[in-house]
Amino acid sequence: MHIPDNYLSPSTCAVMTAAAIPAWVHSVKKLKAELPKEKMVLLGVGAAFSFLGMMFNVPMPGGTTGHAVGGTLIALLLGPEAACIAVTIALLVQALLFGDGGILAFGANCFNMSFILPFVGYYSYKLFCKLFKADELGASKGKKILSAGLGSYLGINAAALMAAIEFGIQPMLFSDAAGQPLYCPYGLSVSIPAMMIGHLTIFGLAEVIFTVAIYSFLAANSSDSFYGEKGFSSIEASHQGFGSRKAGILLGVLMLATPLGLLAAGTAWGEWGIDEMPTMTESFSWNALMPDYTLGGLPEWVAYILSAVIGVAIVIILFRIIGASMKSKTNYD
Amino acid sequence: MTNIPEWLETEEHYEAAPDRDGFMTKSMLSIISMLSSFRAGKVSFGKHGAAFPAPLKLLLCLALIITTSATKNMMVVYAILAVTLVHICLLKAENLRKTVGVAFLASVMSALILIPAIFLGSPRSMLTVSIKVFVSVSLISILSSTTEWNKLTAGLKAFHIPHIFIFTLDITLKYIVILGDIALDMLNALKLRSVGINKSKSSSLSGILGVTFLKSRHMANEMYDAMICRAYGEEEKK
Repeated sequence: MHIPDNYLSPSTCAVMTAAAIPAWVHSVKKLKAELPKEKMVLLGVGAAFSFLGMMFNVPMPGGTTGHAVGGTLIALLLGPEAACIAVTIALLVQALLFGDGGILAFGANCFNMSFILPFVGYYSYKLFCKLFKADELGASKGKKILSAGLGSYLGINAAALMAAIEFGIQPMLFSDAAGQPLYCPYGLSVSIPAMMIGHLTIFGLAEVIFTVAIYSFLAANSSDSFYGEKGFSSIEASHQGFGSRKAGILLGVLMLATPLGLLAAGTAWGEWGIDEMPTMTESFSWNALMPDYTLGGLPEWVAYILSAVIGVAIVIILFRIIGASMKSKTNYD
Repeated sequence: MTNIPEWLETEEHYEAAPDRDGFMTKSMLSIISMLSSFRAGKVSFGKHGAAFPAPLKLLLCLALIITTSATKNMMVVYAILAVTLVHICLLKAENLRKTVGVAFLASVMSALILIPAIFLGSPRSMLTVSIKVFVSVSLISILSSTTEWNKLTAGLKAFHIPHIFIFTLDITLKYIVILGDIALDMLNALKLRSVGINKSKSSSLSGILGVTFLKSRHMANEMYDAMICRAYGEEEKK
């Protein structure tokens, strides 16, 4: 879900950042008005928790593992506005210090994961609570947990859909003189199914397991943990984990739901119309893989010097890596 | 002569049955590597890192990334790639390995993602986007491995980012390490207690992150109290 740089054009990144700004401003304003001063510190610590949550590998059925974003859980614990800021900071740390997710694409990533995800997740949780008539807090723990799971599932998929749309509009808008796409080359008909199949199943499931597991733990052990639910009154500390059988059933359901992603794309895989991929008419040739050296209109010797520098640097790097890995063999005996 | 009880003399042939605990090991590894880069981030700065002030480096890095992304001329990208690779050559071995590792992985990933594009009529995308991804990720990795992280966050001030945001970011960086240690301890404890098959292992994940959250809330309150004791006002200096 973390979009790296160069998949979106800088102008798309600028637009997405502009779209994220109102979300940030709204969140900061709401927090300033609502959050008691001592809770401001909680925001930083909440961001740290959010960052850590993203590092965890969630156990999945069949022994595999998956990662969760955890945006909905943070929203349930701290409120959607605080979650927006906390996830933004966690994403900034990832982008700036770990190179995970682009710097230019930071606005787009924030729009998807720190605005769409927690807000959709939180408000659909609220909606499901209403639908299931789960207002009696102590009595309807199961319904609350179900709502949390459904909310997180909708949240992550809404965010994935946004990311897919951002990818998908790139080839329509940005191409070079030869008609070659400059950024993400896949149109909506490819990007939406590609993103949604993964998120409707595996990543959606990881998010649901993550949210439900921690939600039910906190519901059982610390009743006052949840945002806006002071009366989440004492529930006996009998904690039941989210068993792998339940997760397996859920995965089956999610897999059955996968074709929904294909429906959303309009055209299915392999059935693109000729107007959807204008560049397909050109015959494929491997020569096109090598960029044209005279493209920049620069003299040929500049290209030679550049390739010499790049070549020498790569060789030095390789040798230094080999050297470093040989040195690091320590004999502990 | 001491009498050794009979049960102690019999030979044990217990072999722990293998169990799926990939999630624990993977989580531990990712937390350990994250913590180690945090600890390195505090002390390590290459000798050529100190020459530039952090805000200038951040600005330069941003400018190069924007240029890489915006340009339609691959020569510009190759020029930036050359500069980046030369800079990588001059890094300390530790930083060099990390930078190349992260950037190489990112560009291989994007090359894999873009393989189908070759057959969908845009063969050049794979090469251009992968190289651009390599350049951008290397630039960020060089920046973060040659600059002290607190200077980097302080550098954000030059961009008129609100003080409260940088303050919160600083708290986040500190508490990622503290909470990471706590979670790692709990993962270790779980691993030590999970010899052989332990069916309730995967449901313990909720306990680990749940307790980490409760501790984080507790620590946030304690930190606020400590700030009040030290006369914290609206505008605190770094």
